[in-house]
Amino acid sequence: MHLPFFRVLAAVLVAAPSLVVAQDTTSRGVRIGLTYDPGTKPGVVVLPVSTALGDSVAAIVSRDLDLGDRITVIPLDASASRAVARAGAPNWSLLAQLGAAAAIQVTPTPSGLHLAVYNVATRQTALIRDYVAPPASSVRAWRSAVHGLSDELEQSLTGTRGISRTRVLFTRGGRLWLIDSDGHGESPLAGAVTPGSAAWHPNGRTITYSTYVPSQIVVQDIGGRGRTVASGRGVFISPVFTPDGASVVYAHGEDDGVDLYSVPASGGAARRLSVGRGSDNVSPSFSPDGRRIAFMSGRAGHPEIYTMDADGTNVDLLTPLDVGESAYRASPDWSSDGRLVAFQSRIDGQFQLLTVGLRDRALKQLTSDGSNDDPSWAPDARHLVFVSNRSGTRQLWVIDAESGRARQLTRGASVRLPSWSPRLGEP
Amino acid sequence: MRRLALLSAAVLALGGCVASKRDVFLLQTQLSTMQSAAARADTARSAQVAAVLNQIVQSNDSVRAVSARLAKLQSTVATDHYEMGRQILQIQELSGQSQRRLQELRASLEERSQMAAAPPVPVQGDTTRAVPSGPGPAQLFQSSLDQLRRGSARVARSGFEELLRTYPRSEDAPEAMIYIAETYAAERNQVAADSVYGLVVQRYPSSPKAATALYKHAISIRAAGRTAQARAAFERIVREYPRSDEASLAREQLKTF
Amino acid sequence: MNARSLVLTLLACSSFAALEGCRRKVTPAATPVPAGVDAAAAQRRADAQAAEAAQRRADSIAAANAAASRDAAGDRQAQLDMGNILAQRVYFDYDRDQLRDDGAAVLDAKSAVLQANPSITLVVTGHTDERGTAEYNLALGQRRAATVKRYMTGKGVAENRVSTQSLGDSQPASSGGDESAYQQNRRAEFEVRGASGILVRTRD
Repeated sequence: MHLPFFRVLAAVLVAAPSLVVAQDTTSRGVRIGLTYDPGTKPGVVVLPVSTALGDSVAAIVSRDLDLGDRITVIPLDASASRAVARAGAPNWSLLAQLGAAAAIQVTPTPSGLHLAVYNVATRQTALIRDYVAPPASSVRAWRSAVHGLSDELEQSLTGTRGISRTRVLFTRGGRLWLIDSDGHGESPLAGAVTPGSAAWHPNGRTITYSTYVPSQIVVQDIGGRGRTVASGRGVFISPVFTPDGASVVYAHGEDDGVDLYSVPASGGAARRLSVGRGSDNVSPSFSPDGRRIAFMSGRAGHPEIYTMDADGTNVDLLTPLDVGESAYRASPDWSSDGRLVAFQSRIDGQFQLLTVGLRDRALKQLTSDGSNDDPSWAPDARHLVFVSNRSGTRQLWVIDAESGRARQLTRGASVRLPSWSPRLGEP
Repeated sequence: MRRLALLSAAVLALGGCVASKRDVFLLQTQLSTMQSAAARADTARSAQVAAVLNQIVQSNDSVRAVSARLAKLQSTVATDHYEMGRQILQIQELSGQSQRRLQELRASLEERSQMAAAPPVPVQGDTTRAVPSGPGPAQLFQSSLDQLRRGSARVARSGFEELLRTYPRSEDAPEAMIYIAETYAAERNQVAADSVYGLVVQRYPSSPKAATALYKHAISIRAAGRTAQARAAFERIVREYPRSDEASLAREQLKTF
Repeated sequence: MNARSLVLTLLACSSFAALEGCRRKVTPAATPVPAGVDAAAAQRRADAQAAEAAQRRADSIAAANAAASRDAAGDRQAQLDMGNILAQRVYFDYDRDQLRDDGAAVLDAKSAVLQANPSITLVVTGHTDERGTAEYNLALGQRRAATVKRYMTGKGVAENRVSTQSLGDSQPASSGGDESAYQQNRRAEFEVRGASGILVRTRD
């Protein structure tokens, strides 16, 4: 199943084939010093760079590759650091000894960043590329440029673009916050007060969110002013954009249950989509083709996950039928490859994250530690951000749905309702 | 005439003058007697009035108590009614979902029975077994739906079409036809999808899926700008399938014309 | 019901007519003093009557004052009571929006106050405990508020006088993490609008 490492690189580098020596020699045998599932993740050494800025670039790229869970970044101790990067060429024998399939060097230049990738097996340079980056003094833009490099590099190495240049929206203390995928740049968003859940426009620059007081749905450019697209009495909650970005689908109810509605993103008349007949129907999430909506409904007496056509017809229970009093399944989120819906389900009194396959309805439990809520897929359809109280308070965590590796993203005051952005462009 | 009037005036004046002190006293006594009689009568009357008022207050109270009980009863009945309605909906929902699960179960049963009968024993001259040796209707339906969910619209369509050819009377047939339309819609072939939706309504008007097909048909002709026909189609859904989800959605649509 | 109300109306009319009659008879009998005859006796009687009337007036004023101050104290108490009744919260069971008996009793009292005071309206806000998802809890809170409204309109309160909203689990009444705290948080709260000072007492 594993993609031949340098064959992918070769495919990406059709413009410079002479640099590439495509050999499928690295899918096995990169085991030295690895602690995590080495069989399917090629080992990579990020070569140190002597300047301070170079050090921080190497640190960011190493972390980005590591968090992608597709590459093993081989750590270097001090002596290895000195020995591996002799002047002139990489220390091939040491790299081979460390089990590296490739070595990477990112050097700051006056105009940006210089990337070099070396194939350890063939002792050749596999890729050279220059990136324009803003000065390091404008931290956010500069970090974003480094993440962009990491994501392209990951695509070169594995065939799948990385997700380090993404951000996560969440709520904390009655405000909306943003945080970079690697945990940096945490900052509150101006404008949104008493927000409920938020979601991204596919353009990555616009968001939609609900507020409790007043009860409304808002569309807002990040850094811009909000525009109310739906408001009134009762609740207005859980808005999402349609995959084409043209409409917002949200839940609204006053005296007779809560139903899903659709309204043009530029404002206009809302149209009801779900026929809940007095039950609760919230938390819509679109299939990537925009034709189906997964949502939570209490129509059978307890919260379950359903799917329906985007026009409100052909409703179908997605989660396995369970008539137990304690059944409680909620917060569906459809993966960007369309294969899975992640959701939370009450198991032994606590919530755990599961995925269900759209094709075979197979269930897979992802968590078992603490109570875990509100999963949101990363654009790679592999990682999920969610809320967990496993560290004592409700914090954001990221889990790799394939390996189960989890990391804590936020610290401090408790948080809720994360939403992972699409891949972002330059800030 | 004038003389007569003057005379009578004089008589009256004289009469007044001759009225003695005694007469005046008598008059006073009478007056005070009348006064006390009137006062007694007033007291009696006001006692009666008080009694009547008291009765009114009492009957008002009892009316209020009765209406309070009634309101409470109404409220309870309304709440109970609402709860019952909700439970009925839940039961309908559960039975609908159970049917879907039953369908999946049937598919897997068909599959297993075929596996059990996998090496068919050829009996010479046995023509009674008219059952085709291919997959059963539920199995065909399920695997085709899987294909559609997987994104293989063309493969899914051929599966559903085979179901309709081989088992035209299967209870899955109307839904299979809906999904044939869906496969066209998945390929962005709205014209083909639309005509198949129309066929579902024509061929299976009593299937619950007819309402779905008609609704999708109406949406697509509305999008194509055929407003009057779309309106008629929405009205037909409300008229002919009044209890369906699609009828609720159609009512919403009709509000926006 | 109709026959009964007709009878009541008639009763009310007849009693008013009777009262009216009394007033007409009593008024002209007030000064029966014939001029120039036994002036001294008449004067004495008149004086006595005046004194009596003055006493009666003083007595009735005193009584009225006493009653007024009693009423004022009672009114203050009644205002407090009614304010408390309107503000009293209604509690729910876990993941339920059905009213319990205690909640129904609270709403009965509220409905009576609302009916005696047609100018006030009520905003009902549904809340939940922290268990469950934020979005589902907002919907659940809304259902709780809607149940309250449905019950009160069933009691005869006009539909447009009760509006509903939900804050889900975002504003807990108690910050604890045990069942007693959760119970405090599974509630409907009430906000009175349009009350211009004094509430009219319910007839009870």
